[in-house]
Amino acid sequence: MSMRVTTFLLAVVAFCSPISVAQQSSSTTNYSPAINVKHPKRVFWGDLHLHTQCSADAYSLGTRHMTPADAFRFARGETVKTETGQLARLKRPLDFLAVTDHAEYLGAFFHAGKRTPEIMRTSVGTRWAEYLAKGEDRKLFTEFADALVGRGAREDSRLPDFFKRFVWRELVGEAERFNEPGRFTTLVGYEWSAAVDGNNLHRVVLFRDGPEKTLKHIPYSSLDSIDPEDLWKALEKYEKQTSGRALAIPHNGNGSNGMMFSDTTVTGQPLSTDYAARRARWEPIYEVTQVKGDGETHPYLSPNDEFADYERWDKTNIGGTRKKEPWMLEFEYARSALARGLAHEARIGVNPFAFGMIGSTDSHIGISTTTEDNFFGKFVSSEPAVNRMTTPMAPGFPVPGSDFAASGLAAIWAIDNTREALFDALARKEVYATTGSRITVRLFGGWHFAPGDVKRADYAAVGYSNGVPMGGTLLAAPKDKAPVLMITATKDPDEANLDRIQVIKGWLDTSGRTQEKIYDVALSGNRQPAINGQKTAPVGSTVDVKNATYSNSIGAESLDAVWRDPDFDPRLRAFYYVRVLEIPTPRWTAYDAKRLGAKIPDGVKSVTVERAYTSPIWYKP
Amino acid sequence: MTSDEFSPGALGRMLREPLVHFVLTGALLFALFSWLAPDDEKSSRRILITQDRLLEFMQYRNQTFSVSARSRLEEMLQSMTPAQKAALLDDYVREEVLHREAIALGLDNTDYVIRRRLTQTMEYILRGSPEQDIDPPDDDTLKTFFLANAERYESPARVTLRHVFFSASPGRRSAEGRANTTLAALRSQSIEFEEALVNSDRFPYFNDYVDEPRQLIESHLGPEVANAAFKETLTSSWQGPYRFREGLHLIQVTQRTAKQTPEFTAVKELVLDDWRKTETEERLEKRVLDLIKTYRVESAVR
Repeated sequence: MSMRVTTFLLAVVAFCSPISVAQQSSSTTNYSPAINVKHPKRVFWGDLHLHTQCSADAYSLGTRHMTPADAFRFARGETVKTETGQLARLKRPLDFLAVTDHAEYLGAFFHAGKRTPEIMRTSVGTRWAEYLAKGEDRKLFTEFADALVGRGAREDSRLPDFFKRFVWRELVGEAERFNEPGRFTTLVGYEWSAAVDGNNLHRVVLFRDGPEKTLKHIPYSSLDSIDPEDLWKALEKYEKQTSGRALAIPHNGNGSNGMMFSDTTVTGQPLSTDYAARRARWEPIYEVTQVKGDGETHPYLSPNDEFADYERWDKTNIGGTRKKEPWMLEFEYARSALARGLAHEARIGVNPFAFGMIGSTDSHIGISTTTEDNFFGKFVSSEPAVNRMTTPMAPGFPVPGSDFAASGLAAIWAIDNTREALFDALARKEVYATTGSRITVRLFGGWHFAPGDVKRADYAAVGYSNGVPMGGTLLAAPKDKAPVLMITATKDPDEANLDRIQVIKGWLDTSGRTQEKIYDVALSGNRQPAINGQKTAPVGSTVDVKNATYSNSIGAESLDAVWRDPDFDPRLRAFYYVRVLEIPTPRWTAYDAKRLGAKIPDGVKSVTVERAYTSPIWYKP
Repeated sequence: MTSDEFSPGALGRMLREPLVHFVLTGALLFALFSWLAPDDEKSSRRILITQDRLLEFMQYRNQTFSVSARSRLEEMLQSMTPAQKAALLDDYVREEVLHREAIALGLDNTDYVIRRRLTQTMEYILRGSPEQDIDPPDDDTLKTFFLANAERYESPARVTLRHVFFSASPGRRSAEGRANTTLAALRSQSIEFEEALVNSDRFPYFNDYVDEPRQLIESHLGPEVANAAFKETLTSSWQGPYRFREGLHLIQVTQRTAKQTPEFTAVKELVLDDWRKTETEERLEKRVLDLIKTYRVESAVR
């Protein structure tokens, strides 16, 4: 058969067959509607900040047996025996977990305790092994504390690279062993734990990648540098070398004594355009809530916010070396930092603090617990015990255990439960924080949403096609339009009902001052939002502290709103984020009193209001 | 020893024995050490204040333990006026005396926090080598452990289902009417799932549930849906409506996997982890029991 005839016959077959060429070639839009849904359809829950026996402070303060494997197994829903021998289990498994042990002496104390040949080949390792043999754990803790301030560490306290690589291989390997894409994702990371004069500048470092890339990196520690700009350089080097992706998540501004969101860099320079761009690039996310207190705002900064006095951890810096002073607060909390970011942007053209928000635990006992009725504390000394409310975090630390918060969780709107999809959602800030409950919150900002849009079954598709999700930016307002937010919030199926949805707006006024305002946009029951600076009627309380119970007889399972900013001025930079409040519930202290017979010290709260904070949507004129 | 060994002659002979020399030198050294060493100091009523102890005391008071802080404190100590130094020494002495008296009164036995701390440290010592160092047992032992704890390694039954929701909130057309019409249309296949979704209401959680355990289905969709989805016999037709969360639900189960017990070889590593943990606990308990056996316990409790 000649070539020509064959071609002809094929053409006839193609013409006659029921599948026409025209139909096959239409690859841009699929007929099947489900295929065309490219946006995230569900939220995934997890913890991106958790320590095990491989963290030097955890180990020297008693976490001797909780391995990364224990952490992954607990997070994926298994029953685990804690360091103090108690059985613990989550009500529902988490979808993802990052074990992020401190880079400073990563795994070293644990290996010194084991007298592993690798650590015994180093002089510093043998010294630590001796301390442990003599029960001088406190000396270990001291050496770790020295490492955090960089310059304080002894010259002979540095570990050789071969040991760092050895430990990193173990940790990356354990993460790999438990990573089940689609069902349970493990992200690889660690914590860079620098402190300047005892002021917390800690960052969690996370990778998008698997071992083929992450093993080329050596965890960067405060012994390398205590300046976050150097950390960014190290991450940049990682990305160049491997074409991988990394980011850093700062946390605990409340322990930084004004340094976390300072107007100057660590070296004392005013924030430049270049600095702002690099910070925004490497630190798209802030960990706003965790066991060492909540970082949304502070009553001193937000005197008109009746819910601001929540899980405060504000007595000193992280080193416990210097008392908190009021001037520091503005440079420590997320809300004021978001507002200060607008001011920086007006001055230098780039917003260094354009961050999204997540919560995580920072637990140092290998298990991530965030609900008030299942809270296992931070260190071994704050696992459930009759005296944990009066036990300080570490020996001599000036804050009692009762100040610990059973918080928080990272919620991620992602296409899939995989490292790549979760990381990409973090990078685009389509993520939010809760203080422990799995409250589902969705937020879209646009100019044209109609009041009925939020009731549609496909409201998310409307949100994506006519606006931006949380983490996005609205540019140049159309004439006579104000930003419209479309919001849905639903309770954690296993926890308390919702009280209300609030919009928190921050802006830079015409004289360049930062401002904030809170709007109640959806309320449970038949309440109406108060006007003229009055307070909205409270939802009430069903909490019985003595029996540590509450009832879902008040509040709502689900709330929604389509809200138009009534005070919009198109010339002014602004951000909007959503806060969702649960009805009041017993705090962990009430459960301790009921179950363990513990006495709640005077001035310690026994009732709490769990909440969610979304990443903001920004308006740029 | 017999009594004649204490006669002067015997003593003289003894003093010439090398062993006796050795013992006496030892005793002398011991005495010297006791005089210098803090242990004896505690039992005597003598307080020796060294630079190290004072610095440690200052570190605790300042709640700072870093090397740099220590050198700062050292400088501070050097530059103190005699009055300041005296005040510091007084504070140290006060704390030391109270601490010793508390020990002498046996308060370390009665303070429960101290008891807990000491028992925990003792448990740590008794546990011995870290569990990761315990040699793996033979496969038969592991297998027996695996079988005895099979439920730990089971993965629960899971379903994949599609779901349409009709809100019963006021101001809507009857949820029953809409749900039943949609159910009939879905069953007769006159509409597709995606079309049904468009005519339904917003559900706060998901519309597709892929490979989820009963626990999650029940918490999102309620016990009725969970029962239907995990029923013995699997039906692929649309079912409902079920009432939960202020509305009505239609579901179609497209896949279900039964509860699975993995092969031993697939989870061997986890089993080994668990076996080591159990073994560590058992060793600890055995050592504690052995210690208890050396005591005679008398109970006055009726």
